[in-house]
Amino acid sequence: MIISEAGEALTNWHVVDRASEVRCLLSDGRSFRADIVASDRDLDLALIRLRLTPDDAPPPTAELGTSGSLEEGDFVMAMGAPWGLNRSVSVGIIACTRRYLPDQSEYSLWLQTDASISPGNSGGPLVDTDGRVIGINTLGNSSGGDLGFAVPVDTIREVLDRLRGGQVGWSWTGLRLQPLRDFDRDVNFDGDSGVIVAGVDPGSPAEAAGLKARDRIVSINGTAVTARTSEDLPDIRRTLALKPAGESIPIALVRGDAETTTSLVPREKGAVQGDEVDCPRWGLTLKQINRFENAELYRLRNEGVFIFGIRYPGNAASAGLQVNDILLEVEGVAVKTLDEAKAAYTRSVEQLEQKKRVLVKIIRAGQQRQIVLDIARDFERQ
Amino acid sequence: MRHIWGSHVVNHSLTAARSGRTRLAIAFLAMASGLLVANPLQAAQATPGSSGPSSAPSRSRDLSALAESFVQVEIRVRQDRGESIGTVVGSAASITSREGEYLPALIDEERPLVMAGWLLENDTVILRDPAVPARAVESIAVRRGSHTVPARIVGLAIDQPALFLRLEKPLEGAKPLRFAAASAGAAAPGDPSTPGAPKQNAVVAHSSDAEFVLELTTISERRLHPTTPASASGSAPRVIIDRDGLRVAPGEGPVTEVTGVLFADGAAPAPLGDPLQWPRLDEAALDAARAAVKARADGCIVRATLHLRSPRTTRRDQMYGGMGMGGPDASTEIEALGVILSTGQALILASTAPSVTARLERIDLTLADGSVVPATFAGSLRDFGALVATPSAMPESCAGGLGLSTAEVQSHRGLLRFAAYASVVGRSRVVDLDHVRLSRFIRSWRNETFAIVFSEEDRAFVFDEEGKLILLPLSIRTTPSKRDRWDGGYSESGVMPASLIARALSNLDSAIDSANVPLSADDEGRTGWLGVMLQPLDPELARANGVADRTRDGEFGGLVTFVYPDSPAAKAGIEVGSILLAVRSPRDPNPIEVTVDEADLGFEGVFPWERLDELPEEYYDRIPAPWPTLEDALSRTLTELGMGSEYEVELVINGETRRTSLVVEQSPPHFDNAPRFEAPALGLTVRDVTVEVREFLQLEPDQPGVVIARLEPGKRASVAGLRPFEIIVEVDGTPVKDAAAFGALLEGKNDVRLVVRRAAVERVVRMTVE
Repeated sequence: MIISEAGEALTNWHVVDRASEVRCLLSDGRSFRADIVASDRDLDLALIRLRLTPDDAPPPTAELGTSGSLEEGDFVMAMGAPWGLNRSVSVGIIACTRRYLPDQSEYSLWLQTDASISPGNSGGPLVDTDGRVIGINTLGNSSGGDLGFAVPVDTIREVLDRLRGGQVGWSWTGLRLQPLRDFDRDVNFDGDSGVIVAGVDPGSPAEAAGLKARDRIVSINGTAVTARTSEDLPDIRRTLALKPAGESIPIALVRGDAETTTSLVPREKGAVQGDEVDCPRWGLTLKQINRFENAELYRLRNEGVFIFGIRYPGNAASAGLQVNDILLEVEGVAVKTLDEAKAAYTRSVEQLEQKKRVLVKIIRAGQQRQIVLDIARDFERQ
Repeated sequence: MRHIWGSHVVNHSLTAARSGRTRLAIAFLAMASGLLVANPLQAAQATPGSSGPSSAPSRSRDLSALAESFVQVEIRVRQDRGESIGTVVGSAASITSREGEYLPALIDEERPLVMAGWLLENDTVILRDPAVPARAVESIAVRRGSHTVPARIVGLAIDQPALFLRLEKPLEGAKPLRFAAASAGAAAPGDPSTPGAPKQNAVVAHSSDAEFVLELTTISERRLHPTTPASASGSAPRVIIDRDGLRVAPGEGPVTEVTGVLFADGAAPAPLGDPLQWPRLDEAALDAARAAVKARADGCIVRATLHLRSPRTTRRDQMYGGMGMGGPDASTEIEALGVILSTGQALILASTAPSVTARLERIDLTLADGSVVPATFAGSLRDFGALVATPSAMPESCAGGLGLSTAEVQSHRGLLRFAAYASVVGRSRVVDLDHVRLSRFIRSWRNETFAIVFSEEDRAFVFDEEGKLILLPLSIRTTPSKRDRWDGGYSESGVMPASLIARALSNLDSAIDSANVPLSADDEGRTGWLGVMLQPLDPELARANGVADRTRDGEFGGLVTFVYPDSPAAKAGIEVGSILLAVRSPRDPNPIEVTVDEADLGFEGVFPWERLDELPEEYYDRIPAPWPTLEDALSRTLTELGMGSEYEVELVINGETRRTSLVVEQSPPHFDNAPRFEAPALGLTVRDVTVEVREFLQLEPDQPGVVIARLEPGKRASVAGLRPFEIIVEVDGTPVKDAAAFGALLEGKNDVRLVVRRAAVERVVRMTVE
């Protein structure tokens, strides 16, 4: 959806991720190339800009509304191109204004709607009955049922200026939070205010600040915080993550019965996703281990590359390599970065005439294994 | 345990392993006898039993008079119970008939066992004793040409492998053999003590195609000289005549009379003259002899029940939902035969592996009258598949116990002996009785002489004339290198000379295996370890590491993928990337090849921690543990060798093969045997966090906690949100040291708050305890 006459448009990160080229078709029939200004995996948001020339008439723009005042039962419409059918509108109501989806709600809650959301709706607006944008349709339920989820526009507005600057630039504290009440798990902490520290990542700013699991944080930067239920967590996390890196944040907490304070100095979160490289002759793609994306692999090895995808049929598949195998060595040469992996791959392809088998050392399930990758066969040959 | 392919085949292959010649040999010998027909050395031949003049023209001597005494004996056999009857009969080197027959094949093919026989009187026939079990004999017919009359067994020669038949009526046109006076110029039976092999003139019958053919030939004696002083004391050297036949005097002209009847494989050369004079047991005496053996067997061969502690249910068992949990390693009761010995010991014919013996709690001997005599474990024989127990009292039914003959088995060659075929079927002891003739012997294990019993060797208790055991059905223990992984069999069945067992029992301390003993419940799960994790080799890996030639192209061998710090492997300098080839133990003549069982490797790939919440709780037991088990194939081998045993590991480090001497060390507790705390009301079992769990989860050595080993669906722990393999770090703010401490921390609590760690992420869980 275009949000400014300058040609700024919002969409989902997963729509433009890995895009080599972005083209936009307007309902008046004009089409434009677009540049990606910023994309953010954590909120699944992207800001793009149409390549307008001074001659182009300004495009129509959507008006951003507000999501904070929505109530369940409000009528809404979803616009988009479900299954490629562009200019489609579906109608429904707000099913839930504050939906918490585990693993999908680090920084934001979701608007849940029963308006039909299908693949192709992604990045399209959810609008209220006045036609104002209240969210970006992002998640659907492919197995049927009228369950769609949109990023609330209030959240978007909070990061919009940062997106215009090229990135949200999240900070990272390594603090894991837990609400005071967890109905599903029947957990109730003493006290009615604050948020519980579930744990801190090793080597994180939270650890450096001396925060410990079971601490109850009662205020951040002088502002009282309370997470009674998990729905309250994204706001707190977002507040912390939007604090500038390197700046000290005063934290008040209760540990046992004692109240104490500390200060938390967030760091830049950095990449939340590793880069990838394709190794077609090997029949696999490699990706850099990222602590946020591949926590389990990161625990085993906080650097290096792992197998992200395997082609079937392919040489890696035949050799028994598996997704999530961490690459340690290729032909006795250590591989820690994607560039080193790329070099090893290129070398193996160049030397194919002399050497058809590549000895690869990997880590799988914590063990250092060897695999012989026979690359003699060219699976690309048709 | 050996019935994986059906007992026939197993028995059969076993015979092959022992004797090197089995049914194939039958075919070969049939060919060989076919060749004999064409042998130009034959002086004469006659086709007996044909309708016309029963002799063929002969260049030198006419055999037609003998042909009138020749009969063909047809023994029809049957299956008398569900179980299989004997495997092969006609076991001796009887070239006059077929070399041997497979009884079930005779039944399947609806044909009789055909033997050559000679008429001694108008209604009496002698033939080689094929030792068909009496209960398998359906009918016997004697045929001459087209005439057939029914017959029955009326006697067994004692010193010669011969049996006597009584015809229901005389056979038309048949005439008894005429025996010349003993002094009538026939060669005297060779003096067995004289070296050399006197040739004798003889007429033999051999089967050629469907016909028997008589031929005049010479046959020779071979002497068996005693090889050990033991046999010298009790018996004379044995003589084998190379074929059965009629002894005839040398000379010219038609052969009208014979000087004797020879049976190959006899205990001694058959005496000259009429075989009716030979010592024999007639019907009544046979009955009496059988009854005597039956009494001994009933009194002294008892049903032994080994009561075993329930085996541990491991994660592996759970994963497979109990499938594949059968087999000897999982039983809680083993029924076997026990032999009450004159030494006051009971020999229990059960070849239990150390992992099974470890769980042995009680031994009961059930006598024939149903009374029970408890016995205490005295030791498992290291070399033989049996254990020794001490009955609390000698049963009255077995006064004096059974003696074990110390004579060499071959001293019984050809002699009439009786066997009790005993087995435990379900909870009953089944005993059949029969006579046997030992005729085939083989040097085998440690150069000892073994007898081959063709019929039901896994049930045969063979007695000598004094009622001592000569043979009993037990086997050499299979060494780990030979372990057949298919049936988990720990031993081969077979028949063992009693003298070997007697020797072992006479020096019990050195004959028993100190690693194969009952253990306490706590010690039972102990395992040996080397302290490595292994990846199986494959051809590519073997070649890449230059060990293809030492691993049969990667068929065995393990690539070290992890070495536990301070483990025996670490101390021995074994590194990641080393390749283990084999374990050598002084107890095993063969190297024990290192193999890697895929099921021991744990969850393949990245354990889906984040998806544990989606998994329906009834599947918790089915997910493999994230970590590889410490109780892998290698550790099972080491456990079996026994704690403290010396062994060598053959391995390749950096391309160099070397052997490292080690001693089997007990592994630290591991996930499958670590101390645990069970809270049945909560449906929760936790265990101490053991080395492999710590390593896998990369926990600091001082990181407190217990690991959730089992959750029951629907119980409090599962409902509270605990998930398998999570670590419970704290209870109400107190760090949990171990499983016992966890149990103590729950005591008296209504409601606890647990700090729970899943992989690297902690959270708080409230659980109602009450």
